[in-house]
Amino acid sequence: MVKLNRKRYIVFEITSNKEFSSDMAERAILDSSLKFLGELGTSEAGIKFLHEFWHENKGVLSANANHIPKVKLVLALIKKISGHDVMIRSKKVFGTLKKIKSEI
Amino acid sequence: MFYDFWIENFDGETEKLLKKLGFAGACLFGAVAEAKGLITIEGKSIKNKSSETADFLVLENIDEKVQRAAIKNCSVDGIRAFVKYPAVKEMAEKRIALIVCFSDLLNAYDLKKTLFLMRRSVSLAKKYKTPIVIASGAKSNWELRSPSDLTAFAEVLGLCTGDAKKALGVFQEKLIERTKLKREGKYISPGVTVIEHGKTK
Repeated sequence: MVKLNRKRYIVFEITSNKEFSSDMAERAILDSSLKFLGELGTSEAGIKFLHEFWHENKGVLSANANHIPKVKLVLALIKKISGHDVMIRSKKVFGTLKKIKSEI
Repeated sequence: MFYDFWIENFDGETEKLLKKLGFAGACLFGAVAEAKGLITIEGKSIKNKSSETADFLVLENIDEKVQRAAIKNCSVDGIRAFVKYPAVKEMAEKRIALIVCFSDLLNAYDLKKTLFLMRRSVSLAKKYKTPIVIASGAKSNWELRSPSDLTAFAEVLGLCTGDAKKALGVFQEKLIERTKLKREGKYISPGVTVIEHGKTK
């Protein structure tokens, strides 16, 4: 059977002078997504923050495979997190969670 | 190879960051610096018709008359503005690039309008096969973005993955080659280069 919503996992890294908690990063990403894609776009993209992979300003997002460029742009559009300058870089896109462990 | 063709602030840290992000070269606007391991060329942006020279001369003017005059004279290498129909077609004929900077979207006052105008310019450029250059347009190190992020930006603007990757390297490589020939004194005009100097004058 063909899966309707194929998932992809984006590994991203936050470059900043400060270390952020996973909740702060999630809030910033969702705010940026709502601002850029809107409610409908965010739900279609299926953005989900995976808290278990958060480590030293590096994290993983899962999203719909057809919306990967939009999600990458959402990450790139984040300028500040709680008043601190940041640069978010999407490092690599994976198809399974198993391979991510070696990257992080 | 990927190039970031619009950087306004350049120092040692920028150089390190560009290498880390995976860029092979950059075009510096208003910052002249030598970088080891990075190909750098000098860029200059002009607002009006002028006789200035640089490795990469770019027009930044939204006035259509000024744009068309610059295109007609072939006095610029690229235009960083939102362009419309006749100008885009003439740009394609003269091989003048449309430059789209990520910082325009990042610092936009009206995000939706800027995105609409960018998408319109890019779709016209795609239709008439005008060269497209995607750059970060960074004024500080925080505004630099990786090639994969810039490719995603190009894809959102309406380019396919292949074209998005080409927008980060193909036109830039040609320009770097031209700059190299210019510095060696072998470049005369578009299509005319010195292959070998003769013995008689």
